[in-house]
Amino acid sequence: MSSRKKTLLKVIILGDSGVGKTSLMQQFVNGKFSQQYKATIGADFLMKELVLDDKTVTMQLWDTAGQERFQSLGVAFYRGADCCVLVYDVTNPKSFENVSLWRDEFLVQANVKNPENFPFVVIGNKIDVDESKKLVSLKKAQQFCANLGNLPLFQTSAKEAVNIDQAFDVIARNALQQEENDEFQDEFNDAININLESENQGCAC
Amino acid sequence: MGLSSLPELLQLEKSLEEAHGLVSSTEQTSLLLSHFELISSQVSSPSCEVSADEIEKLLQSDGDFNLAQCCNKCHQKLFYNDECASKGELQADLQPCCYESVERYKHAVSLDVSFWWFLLNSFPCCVMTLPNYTRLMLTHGIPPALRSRIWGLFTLAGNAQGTTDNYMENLYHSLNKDVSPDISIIVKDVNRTFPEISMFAEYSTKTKFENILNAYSIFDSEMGYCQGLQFIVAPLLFHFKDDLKTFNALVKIFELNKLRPIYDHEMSGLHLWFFQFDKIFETEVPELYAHFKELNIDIQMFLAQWFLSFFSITIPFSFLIRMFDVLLLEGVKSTLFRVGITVLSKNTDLLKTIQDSELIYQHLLSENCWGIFQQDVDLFIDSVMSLPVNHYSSEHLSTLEDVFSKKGIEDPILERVKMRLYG
Repeated sequence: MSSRKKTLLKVIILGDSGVGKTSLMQQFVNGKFSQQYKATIGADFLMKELVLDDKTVTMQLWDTAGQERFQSLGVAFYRGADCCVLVYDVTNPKSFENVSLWRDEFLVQANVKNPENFPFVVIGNKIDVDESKKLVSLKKAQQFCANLGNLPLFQTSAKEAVNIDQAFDVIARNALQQEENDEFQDEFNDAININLESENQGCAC
Repeated sequence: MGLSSLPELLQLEKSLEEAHGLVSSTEQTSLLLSHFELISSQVSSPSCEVSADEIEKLLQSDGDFNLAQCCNKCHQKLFYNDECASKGELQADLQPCCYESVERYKHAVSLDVSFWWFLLNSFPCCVMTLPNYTRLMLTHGIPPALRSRIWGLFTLAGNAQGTTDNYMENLYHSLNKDVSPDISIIVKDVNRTFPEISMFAEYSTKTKFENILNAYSIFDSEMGYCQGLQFIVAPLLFHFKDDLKTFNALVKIFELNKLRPIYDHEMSGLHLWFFQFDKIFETEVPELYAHFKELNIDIQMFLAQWFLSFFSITIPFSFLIRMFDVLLLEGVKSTLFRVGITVLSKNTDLLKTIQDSELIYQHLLSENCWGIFQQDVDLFIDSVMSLPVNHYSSEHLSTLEDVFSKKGIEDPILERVKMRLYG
């Protein structure tokens, strides 16, 4: 039943301003990098079709504005999300500290059914820089993700296309699983309704 | 300076007729006059004298302000980028009609010179006595070479000769002795504001740009720097060139148009704008409104981007400049609303064929929503200016605000917003 229906996965990308959210999306969807993206105001989004095993899915990637005050617009953007990607910049410790704030903010605003099991993926971007500029160690990030319930972690470079496909593959799979869980819930509810209706109308054969 | 010949008189008559055609009723100038009242209540010193010769000379000069110029027949851009424009190097593949346009821009008819001379020297008098004609000339666009001075008058940032007062100068310099807490975002944003325009890639422009935003975020430290501001500053700086004058204009635009609530920490004013726009959208473009309702489209998804950036994220730069010609004299909110309604109504036929809400968002959040105008900046601005203005007047908007403030509170965000707006 669900295979005939178009599978749409909504993914929200959050993180401080300038960590590279737009660049990650552009690299994944269009395979290109530019220094020239305009700052995202409000939100923007891109779509990409993917084949996961034998299933075609459409990913709807929502890119959001990183400045804190834009969170007052969050509700509209976060609604119906299947996965949330939290991005920090490995050269910017503050952006790493804020990852957990972004996660909390998302959980408050998105009103997800099952907060403990909602899929998050963490991405540390800009690993193409010199070692000396990396101020958030991989170890520290791993520790952090482990504490939040083993969140998947990727270190990427949107500039040099490192680890982008791997990260988005996991994002897509987690989103799909979340979507199927939700759908199962919905179908379960629908099934009850259908039974009630058929009882009233009697058997068609 | 007067009208010297019969051909000029005949042309004036023709233009006045055109002005009346554009403004079908006296109502049409109401936006202009009501916003002008705000501006003129703050004008303190009389304008300085600029001679007609000087204006004529300016009109013939080249400069990178020509970037926004297109052929008025085929709408081909006349210059490849602003670097070529400043050198006066025309595009290679121009048609005969484009060359005619170039000549036309250089040799402004003397009637136009008279009008701009009148506007520059007696700005209040010009708007009050010739509101229809002023509106027509703004619709046609301010000549690029005069834009910096005329915008200076509209925003009270400078006089006719383009100078700014001492008080603002001292204020600006003292503000820039401090560093804004938002400086790192400011620097990042300056690097990604119209990166395709070479002027904004220059080190000296970036420094000015950073100083303007730094000063403003300290000037109003409670509001601080809000992303989106950089896109309002960009067209102003593009024409003013001068950072002090741009800063001054920014301060005045915020004051006159009461923009603060849409950019503050709660963005409380923005939610009111959403509500008002929704009501106007419902009356003005009912077919599309119904289609959006059916698909459960949330207009905030694209309105946030449109309003906070003054459409700058996607609008062609030449459109943006012409929008500013109108917006500075007729008011920010009513102009942004009219542009938004124009984009929606022009795209109605296309959007009604789309049944996927994602594709609709994608269309409206990307450059695609301007495709319908086919680069024709005149078509764009004429569509905006021919909307019935009484639906965008401050009276109408405040009626809608009353409805908003009395509306039952159904979600916690709106509750916070209203607490902030109405106490």
